[in-house]
Amino acid sequence: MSGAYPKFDDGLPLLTHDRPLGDPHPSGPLPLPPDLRGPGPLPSDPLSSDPGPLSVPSALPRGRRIEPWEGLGADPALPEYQPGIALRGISGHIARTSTGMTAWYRLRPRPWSMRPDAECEALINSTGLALNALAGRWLHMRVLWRPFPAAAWARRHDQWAAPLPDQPNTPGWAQWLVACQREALVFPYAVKETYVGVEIHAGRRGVGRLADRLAGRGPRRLRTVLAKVAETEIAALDDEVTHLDRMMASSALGASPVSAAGMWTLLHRSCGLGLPASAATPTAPHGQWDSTDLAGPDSAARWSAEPYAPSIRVEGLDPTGRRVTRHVVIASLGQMGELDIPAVHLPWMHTADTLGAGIEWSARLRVLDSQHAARALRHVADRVDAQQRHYEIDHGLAAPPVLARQISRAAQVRDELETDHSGLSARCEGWWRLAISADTEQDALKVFSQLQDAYHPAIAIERGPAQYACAREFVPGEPLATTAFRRRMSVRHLAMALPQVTDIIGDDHGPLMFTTAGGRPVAWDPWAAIDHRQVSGLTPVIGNQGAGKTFLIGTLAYHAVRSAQAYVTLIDPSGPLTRLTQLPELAGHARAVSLMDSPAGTLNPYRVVPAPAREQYPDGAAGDAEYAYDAAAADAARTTLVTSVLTGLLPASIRRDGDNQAALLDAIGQVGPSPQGDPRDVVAALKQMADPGPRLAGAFAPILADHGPARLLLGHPEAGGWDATTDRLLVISTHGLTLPGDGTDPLDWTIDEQLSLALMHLTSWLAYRRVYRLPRQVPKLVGLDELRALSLLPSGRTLVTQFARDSRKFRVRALIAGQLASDVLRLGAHSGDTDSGLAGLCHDVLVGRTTGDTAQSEALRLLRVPTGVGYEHQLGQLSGAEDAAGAEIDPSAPTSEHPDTGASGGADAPRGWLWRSGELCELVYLDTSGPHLAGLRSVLDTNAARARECS
Amino acid sequence: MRSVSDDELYSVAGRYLGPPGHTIPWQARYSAYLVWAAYFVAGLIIRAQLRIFSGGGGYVVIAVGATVACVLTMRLVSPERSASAVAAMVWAELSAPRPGDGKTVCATLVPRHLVITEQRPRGGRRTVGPARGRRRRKRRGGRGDGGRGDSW
Repeated sequence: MSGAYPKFDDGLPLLTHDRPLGDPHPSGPLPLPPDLRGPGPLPSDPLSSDPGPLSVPSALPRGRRIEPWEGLGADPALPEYQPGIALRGISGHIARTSTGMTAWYRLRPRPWSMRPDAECEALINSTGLALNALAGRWLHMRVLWRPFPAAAWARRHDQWAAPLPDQPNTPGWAQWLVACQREALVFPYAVKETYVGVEIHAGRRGVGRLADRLAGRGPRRLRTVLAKVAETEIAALDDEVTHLDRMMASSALGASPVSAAGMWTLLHRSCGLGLPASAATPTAPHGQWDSTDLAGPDSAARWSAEPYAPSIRVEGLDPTGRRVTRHVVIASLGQMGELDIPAVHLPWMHTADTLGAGIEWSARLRVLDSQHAARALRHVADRVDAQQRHYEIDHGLAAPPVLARQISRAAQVRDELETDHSGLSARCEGWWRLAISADTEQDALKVFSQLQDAYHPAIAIERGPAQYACAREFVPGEPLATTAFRRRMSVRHLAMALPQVTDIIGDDHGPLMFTTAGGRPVAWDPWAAIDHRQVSGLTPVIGNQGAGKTFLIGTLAYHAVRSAQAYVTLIDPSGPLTRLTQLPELAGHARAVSLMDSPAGTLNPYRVVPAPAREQYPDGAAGDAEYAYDAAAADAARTTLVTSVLTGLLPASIRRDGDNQAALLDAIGQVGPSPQGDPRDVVAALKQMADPGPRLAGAFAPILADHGPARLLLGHPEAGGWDATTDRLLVISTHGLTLPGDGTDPLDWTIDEQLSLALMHLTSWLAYRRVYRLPRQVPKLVGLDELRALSLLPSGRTLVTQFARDSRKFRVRALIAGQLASDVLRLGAHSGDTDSGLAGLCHDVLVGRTTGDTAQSEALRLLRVPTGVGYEHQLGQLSGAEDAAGAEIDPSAPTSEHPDTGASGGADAPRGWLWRSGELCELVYLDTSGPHLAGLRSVLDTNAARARECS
Repeated sequence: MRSVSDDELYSVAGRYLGPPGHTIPWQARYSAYLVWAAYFVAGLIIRAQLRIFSGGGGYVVIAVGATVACVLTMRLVSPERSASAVAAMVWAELSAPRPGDGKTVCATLVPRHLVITEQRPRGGRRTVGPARGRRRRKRRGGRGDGGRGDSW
């Protein structure tokens, strides 16, 4: 595959097939406009009509000696101008100003969603201890957002994928890949990044400070020498920096030194505060970084503010050269009340993320050493005591009640400092600012109001004057603008901020199946966990009617065939999945078969359990043993299946008789487990047996008729389209089967219902048989939409067990959809202990909208999420078909667009799912937005009312 | 896990009620007296420079004016924002760049002023500037340590 990164109209970087994929572009780079590259400094303000200093080159001073290097090709003579920021130099991850040096680290993202309280508290405590180890150092925390690294994803996805050949008159793979990236870049605040700058040296040596000051002014030789002076100063701190690197990496922060690309991003995003990330992110390859690359940030943005305006204006240019103006409101963290995390509140620096507005943080803080903390506490306690004495003793007045509370609190803090040696009671102080950006000032203020509501009443969010000065605090190296809104707290309270918490579920390649609640596209390679973590591919998909189970299975099947040429087998009881085969991009690789139209013998229970092929096993004794084991298991499964099917066909009154059961087992035993068997052989054997054999054979006579659906059970057909292994997508429609209703007593089942149930089971076994017949190494996906029916009979439960056991060996992602999690929890469980069943083997579980207390509790148990702590109601609030239908029918709803237009809404309205994937469990939304998936949305839309409207 | 910040502890707004046993009729914060004094002195300077409000009544006018200004100022001062922080914020507002003034602000990372290296320099316990001993060796014609410190 090949690829390149041209720009589209919106200036976003996308991967296409015009350049080799091996280009060393990092994630999310954007091409820098040619006029912003080059060896020299840039015009000070490209937004201004003022031509800038480059347009008025000054003449050399009279009498000045011309240096040899100032001849041809020399640097142009420019008027010098001072840098507008305090930063003086960057060496690796160390940034230096004239007042100190700071080492910058990027914190490892941490999951928070749906985790047990004990794990959350352990994370808080370990983070607190890590911060306490940095006592005495000033820290600068920065939280910023970036769009999804679509180009990097496309590169990895392209390398992973084995796409179907392009079809005429349909978008090819390259166009499809571009469309995916375009859709993934719609949301500008998809990826959260948390940086921490740690002060490594307070103050600078005079010579180093002087060297930095003169570095840009003197002749070239002098500048070289001065640069080495600064480097020597940093080299002297090598031991301390190394120690700090090790400590940051090994602590709970999991921080790694910021790379050149990371520092680049941090500087750009800080200098272009509020600008869209695509406009403030450079594109230049970051493998090599020299000083001239800094021409990129130069003049990246212009900040201005009206007197006492509630926001500042940030103007910049996007990569296509268009003017961008944003309004940024700087808020400060105000008084904080009592927090109860994780039981009641979210981590307090994570709460702002829930707005999805890309709110950035800048925090200056330090953990006080014990002496400093004690001194500050003594000082404030003395003030409070003096004030109380002033009221009560000096003037005989009643002191305000707050003084008594303050005295009590001071005593409590003093006690914590003296008795708690865990380190979490150490005190810290700092200033937390939030940057809210929007296109207009009104929009920014609206988000600010929403932010206040989100934090109310636990934390006050304040907006004061000096917006411009406070905004400068976001730039690394800038000093604190004001001491207003200073926050003081314990390290435990500080650790509860957890700025690094974000959603991290998903793979770095694979189809973009979901988006998170924050808008980040989530890729899922359905076979990555099976291949690399050696886990089962059995995946329950649980949800009420209308939760979107069929939509989800159909979407995943489509992506699996389209991207990976996987062998997909779907059982479709209702029809939408069958329509998948009509998609033009799958033409020639998809087939839909109707079970009722299949030839006789298609579901012969003897043949649907395949015998393993010896050539699929390794040579040698180990392979022989494995083959013999699997062959014996197949024989046993076949016998079990035949027994289950034939028993299930009999009326309940007959099959519950012990003599009848013995006779049937005897007859099945006489026929044997050969794949060449036939149920008619069992009936024949019954006729040859003593009573009750003939009577039992007579009971089978009207059921196993050669006409009607029962013919599917009898005989051996020739291989047909339904049995072909060449189709990538095979959809078996079971339309016409009449399954017994939920809760119906088996004694009341009709013969038709009994036969339908048996045929449904055998159809599922047919899907299993197809898996067995395909080569082991090819990716496969099976979608069964009737978990309830499978769980009713022993053979169905055996089938699910087989999938749970064999899916890893055969690279099968087996999606089993149902309405109740209890159907999964009971599978393979010992009596009464549902925790011991197959559910524990499921690496991936998807649960959609679920109502009812019991159903919600069981769904949470299937998700391995704590029950009874408030997560239940989330299951009932997940979006489902009702929301989509409502949005569609309501003419005033903004999402009521036809699916073909590509707008979100209607069939492609996001369906919420709680996705358990290994250790992670997060809320995701199925994403089928975008014009490239319009056909998929159209065929999977099950809403009859909408179909009528569209027609 | 419950936790409370120390905000309430540090939100002390000390008020001066007067000398012991003699309670004055207003309860102003200690900082208000400093602010009033600052305004009063500033008023005196302005009075002297502009030669206005001459006579004894001028002091009364300045005192009243300082009191009014002090009351207005103290509405902005709180435990969250000290008087000095308010003054700094006023100065920050006055000195902020205005739209259309043609100045480039903040994002002027001039390469010639900002030295960049992709890898941070490593080494032993180097010091900035040659050590005394090394200086003496140089005078005697000895060689340095051969490291990067010799290059300058």
